[in-house]
Amino acid sequence: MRNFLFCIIVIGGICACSGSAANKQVKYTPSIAAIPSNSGFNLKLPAATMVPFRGEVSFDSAGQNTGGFLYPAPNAGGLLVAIATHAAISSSINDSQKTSFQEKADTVLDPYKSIISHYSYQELVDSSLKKLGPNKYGLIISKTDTVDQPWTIESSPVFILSQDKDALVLQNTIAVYMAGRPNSVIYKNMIQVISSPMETADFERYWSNNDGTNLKNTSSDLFSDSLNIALAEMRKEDAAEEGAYRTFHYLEGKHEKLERAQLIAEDCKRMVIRTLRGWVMSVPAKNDAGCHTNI
Amino acid sequence: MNARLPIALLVTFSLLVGCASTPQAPVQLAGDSLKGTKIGIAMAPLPKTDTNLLGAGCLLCMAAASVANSTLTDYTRKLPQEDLPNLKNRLAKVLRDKGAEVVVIDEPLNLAKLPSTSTKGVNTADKDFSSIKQKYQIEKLLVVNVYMLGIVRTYANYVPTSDPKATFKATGYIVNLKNNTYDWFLPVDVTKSADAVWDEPPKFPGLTNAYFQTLELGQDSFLKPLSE
Repeated sequence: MRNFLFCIIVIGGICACSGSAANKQVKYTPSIAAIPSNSGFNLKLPAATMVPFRGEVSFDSAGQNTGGFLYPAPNAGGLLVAIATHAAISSSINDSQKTSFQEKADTVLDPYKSIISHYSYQELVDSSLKKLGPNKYGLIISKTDTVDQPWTIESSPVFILSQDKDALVLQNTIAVYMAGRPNSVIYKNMIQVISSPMETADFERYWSNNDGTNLKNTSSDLFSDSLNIALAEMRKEDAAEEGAYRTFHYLEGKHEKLERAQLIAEDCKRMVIRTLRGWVMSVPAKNDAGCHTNI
Repeated sequence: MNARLPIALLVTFSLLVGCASTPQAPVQLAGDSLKGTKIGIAMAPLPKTDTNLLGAGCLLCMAAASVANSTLTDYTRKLPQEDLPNLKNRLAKVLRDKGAEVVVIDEPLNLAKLPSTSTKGVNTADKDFSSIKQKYQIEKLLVVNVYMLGIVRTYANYVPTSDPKATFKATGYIVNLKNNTYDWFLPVDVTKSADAVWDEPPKFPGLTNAYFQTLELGQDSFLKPLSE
């Protein structure tokens, strides 16, 4: 009986390890220090020069079928080795399937490759900081190479185009620390901003017209929105109390999407919500009704 | 040659073929077929929210898979079903808006206890609902049968072949009680994966989000076509 239980635990352990992808998700760290009004921030971006874009991917259909498998097992030890081998192969197949899904999803960007390959962080930031405008906390964001501010905002934006090309989504990983102290992060989070629905019959041309003017304009709008949300997060004591978790309906292009979250703020057209991971999303409201709070 | 063996094989084969029934195909609801109709709405007892490890066939495989997913299973069993038990009342409003006279049947409908129908045919219900017809004096019956809710993960014996995903599996149908045939039949199978990463114990936020998405989408699968 003991051997049987031992086998179950060992096999369970082997199989628990297989298929569990490394957890690389951004962990929400709420602001732990009150950042004074009128503070200045340097904006630090990744070392790469070009802005990353991806195609939106779904893993709903990922995975292999169920099915029997015959293990060549002359004894208990052989059985464990065979199962471990099977687990390793299966895990590898699942990983390569996900990579293949992402590669296929990225083909949605093919018509814009020439635009994206020349779209630099420099261009994104220059345009976004102009749009940022004054915020109610008096917080100022500057480019790292222009002014030396007491705080640093480290930002890693990734833009995702929906498969219908009708929405652009920004996932911006933000970390805030005192200048020169990157290991003492006082706030870290993922800020997601989804573009508002656009009126056009031809999205392929919409994004590529005039050397990608709409693509770049929307990208910088989303990026400046994400910085404003991050600034508000850092001064969270000013924010309204967040409500209970519920399932929010919102629009991504013409598609209705769902997210389990708490409401942070809303106005007629958009909602800001906190997801179960603590991430913040700014999403277009499904119904243009009910103005209560300004975001 | 002993004749018993071929006869036994023939009987076994017939039984196996008999068990392999063809799944009922979807049936579209005719536009105004509910107007002025007295229709009952019943729900089969809801399943417990749980993890379902499909393909872990042998006893040792099932035990190993259960051990490997024990933290997720404990968590999944605590997830609420929210407004799902109230689905029949929301369906009642939809049908009333279409001009039907609706009777909401409060007690859960135990389909296993209903007798099977003696006649078989295209779009004929497996169960005989005549007892419900007599009890509630209704012409048609809308049945919602949610039979799987929670998390599903596929296995090949001991080894997982997919990440865990949220699942909502159900059937919904309207039986015309005059002839026990389907006026409407809809199989619902909603599966959502966590966004990118699922293995985030103890609260599994990615899978929890997917679970609430399937819960909402599953219910919408019934509400939307009936309200059109």
